[in-house]
Amino acid sequence: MKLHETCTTDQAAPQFDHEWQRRAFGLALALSEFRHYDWSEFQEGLIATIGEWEAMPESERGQWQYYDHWVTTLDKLVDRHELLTAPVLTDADDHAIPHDHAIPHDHDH
Amino acid sequence: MSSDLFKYNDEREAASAAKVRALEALLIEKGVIGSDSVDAVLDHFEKIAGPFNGARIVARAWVDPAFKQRLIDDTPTAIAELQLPVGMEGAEGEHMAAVANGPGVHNLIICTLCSCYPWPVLGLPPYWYKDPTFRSRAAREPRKVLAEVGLDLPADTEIKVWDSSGHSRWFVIPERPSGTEDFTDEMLMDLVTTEAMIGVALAGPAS
Repeated sequence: MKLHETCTTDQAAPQFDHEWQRRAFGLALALSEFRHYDWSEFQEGLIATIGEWEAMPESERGQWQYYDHWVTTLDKLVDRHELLTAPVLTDADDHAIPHDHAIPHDHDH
Repeated sequence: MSSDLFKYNDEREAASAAKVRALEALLIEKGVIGSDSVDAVLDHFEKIAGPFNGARIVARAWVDPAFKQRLIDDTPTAIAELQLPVGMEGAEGEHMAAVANGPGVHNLIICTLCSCYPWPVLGLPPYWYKDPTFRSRAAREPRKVLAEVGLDLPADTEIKVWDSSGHSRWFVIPERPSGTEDFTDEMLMDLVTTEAMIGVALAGPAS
């Protein structure tokens, strides 16, 4: 018996069962890479999301799907950081500036 | 009953796929990320920060015992000596810790919190690795789980199970296969798989 068909055959390639899982993975990393949140915040969110799933009665929680938890976490962080609702700040080169790292508003004027 | 279950899963699958597609499109439209940002990040992980980095580290440890000792004593500093491609800052590369297999000792890495895997060195984890059944069973009965995935260890081999966490992200230095004395570094690297560095397999035999 094998735990999964990819076990012992994987040489180098990342393992995703579906393209949406790969996109979800890349999207979460890209938002961290562009400093919209710290990677540790995503990790903590993922641990919490999985913890909530594990705390549910088996009859209610459905089949295990790691990337569902990944997407749920991504959704929470996009909401928490208001990435889709807050106005986009841009720098001189027209690149988006993450809100957490934006220059503080000058209150002296 | 089971067909209902599958139907539900199909629907959930489709819903997750649609949500990811919509999220990426909306974030691009709003200018939060660029249209090629996700591809650039995936490209990095699939081509630059992959298990070949781990293979280089292990191959070096095989040919240089002093390096191997430094790798065990202070993993991040030893890895820095090799000047590997820079990983994503803060994304899993910190707190790396190596454990070495040896005569009578086999190491197995698990990750019960399933998000502490050292990507820049090992590449992305195999899909089954994150399964809760694997995680809990590997902690409870590692010898049996290893036998099931094709790794039958002698009864007197001690199996050490290491649980990766935010503080320590473990990887295994497998034993160098015999008959590889004349191998070049590149040939040695080819023997080091992700599975060997997780500890669910041995380094490939010399052929």
